[in-house]
Amino acid sequence: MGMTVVEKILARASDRGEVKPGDLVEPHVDIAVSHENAGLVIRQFHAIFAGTGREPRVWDPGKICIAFDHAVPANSAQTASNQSLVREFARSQGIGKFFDVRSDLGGVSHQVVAESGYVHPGALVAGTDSRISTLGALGAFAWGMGATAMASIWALGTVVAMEVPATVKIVVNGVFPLFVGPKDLALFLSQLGPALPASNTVLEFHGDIMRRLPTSARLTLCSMALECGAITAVVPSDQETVRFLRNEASIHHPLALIIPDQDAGYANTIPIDVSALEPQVACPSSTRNVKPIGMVEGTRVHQIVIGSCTNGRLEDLEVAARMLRGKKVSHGTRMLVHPVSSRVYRQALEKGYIADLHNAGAVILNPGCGPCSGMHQGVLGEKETALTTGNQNPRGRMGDPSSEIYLSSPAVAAASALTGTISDPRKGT
Amino acid sequence: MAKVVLALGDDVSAEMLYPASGTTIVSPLEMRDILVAADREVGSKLREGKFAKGSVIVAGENFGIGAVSEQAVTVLGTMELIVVARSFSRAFLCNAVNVGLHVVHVPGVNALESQRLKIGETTVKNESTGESFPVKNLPASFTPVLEAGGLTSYTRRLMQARRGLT
Repeated sequence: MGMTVVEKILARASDRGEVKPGDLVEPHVDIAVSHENAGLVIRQFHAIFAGTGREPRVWDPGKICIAFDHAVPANSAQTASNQSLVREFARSQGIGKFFDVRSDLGGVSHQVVAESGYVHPGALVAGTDSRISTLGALGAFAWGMGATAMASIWALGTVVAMEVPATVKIVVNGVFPLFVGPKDLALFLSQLGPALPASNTVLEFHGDIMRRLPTSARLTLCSMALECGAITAVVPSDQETVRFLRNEASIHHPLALIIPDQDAGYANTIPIDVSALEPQVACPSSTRNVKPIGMVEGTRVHQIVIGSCTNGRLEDLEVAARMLRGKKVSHGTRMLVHPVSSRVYRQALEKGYIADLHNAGAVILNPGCGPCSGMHQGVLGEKETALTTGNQNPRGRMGDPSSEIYLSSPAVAAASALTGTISDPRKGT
Repeated sequence: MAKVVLALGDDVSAEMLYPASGTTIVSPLEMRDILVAADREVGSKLREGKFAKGSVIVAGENFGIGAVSEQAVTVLGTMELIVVARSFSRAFLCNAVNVGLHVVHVPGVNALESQRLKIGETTVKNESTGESFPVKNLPASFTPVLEAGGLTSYTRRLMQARRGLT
């Protein structure tokens, strides 16, 4: 039996000829990524060394990346103290891949890792953020974990007692209709959960349309793997992956593309044709509650957010800028924009997108997680409603427990900003 | 016999249990302050913690879906609660085993608040209704960590064994 992409990665990282779902492996980690929750990882890391008489040292400081993204600049004294603790730890351990609060570098950790060339096809990526799955877009196995599991990796450099996951093949064909794209597909797929055979499952994306999608769209799609009930998602690497890594991530060393074997074993194959897909909206307060836009059109929204690791890339800002150019955000509705990284922010400035959005009345926030994590920069008040391009909408995530969150593509968000109600971009405004 | 102090439905999100706004908190005591902050009734009940150790939260499918952070698991663990669910997200299950929260996978479980459960190795019995439900074993991959009493002590042991060789 041949192997899927993730099985190949785990076999290589475990020094084994082959692995199959259910096998126990202890793979070596190529890069371990954290953000502010490195504070909790540090606490658990010290606990491992307690009573051993050994000085706490990470296994390989060159393979750890920490990027502040959840609260930049710090939103509270507590966060500032936490960031100080992490900053000092990075310095004392010699962790060079550290992204502090500054304008010329940094952004949401997954994006920073992609842009910096820290991930290549076949890499094993561990992360303490749920959206680390985003990096599956580059043909890597990138999955998320809690702080204690990350502390264990910092100490050992390997994952202990990992069970090889099953792979589900998603075959995406057809052509996206106008104003329908990867975010709509991701939202549509988030209702898949019950179709998956077990929770220890990876989604592997195939189909004509996947080969045509740029890396930015693949990143969007993979960012929502958890919503589909999977542990992560992966796009088999191809020439587009190489283009991105050479041109946008400055990787110059040879790259080996990892593609699944012809006779790879999949737990399930799910075909999807996107030709008839409509813009999708995840309604309060679950990503399982996804509806075609027609069912929620006209819903009043107080705040529009375009940004996040799911939809804060240049292409997303371009869509919004084009739709808002020369127009105004509806009075009574606030619009916030937070680019995913410093690089994207700079590119959007150069292309005039930031000016278009600014002139339309959008508040431009600095790169990072912005209001998505509910910590700062646009917290919702009592009974307020937001429409965001983020990836999660549980009750109270962005503020008051009575506030509600809808999730959509940048096109739907931009169209809705002009009207103050959830609006279908296909109808024009 | 364990009392059900909270009965929840399907797809309870890890974000709902512990919001991302608490990402920078490192103290379990402070984490407890924002547990289920979005649901005042459920949240205050949990935070007040006026129930016996070993009390039970019963849930439906996909408990803990949508996030990989372990703070919710940490807090429930320090409160010595038991979570019995029809199914768990993989990340929640991993975190529970790593941190030491007692979780029981019972695909058919049916119980309401205030009912009493008898949690055995192979079955969970709802003493209030008389119904019994088979327990599904946790994946074998978790056994070494469970036997070590959590991932911190298991890692310490592995680290000492590996470094001892060099």
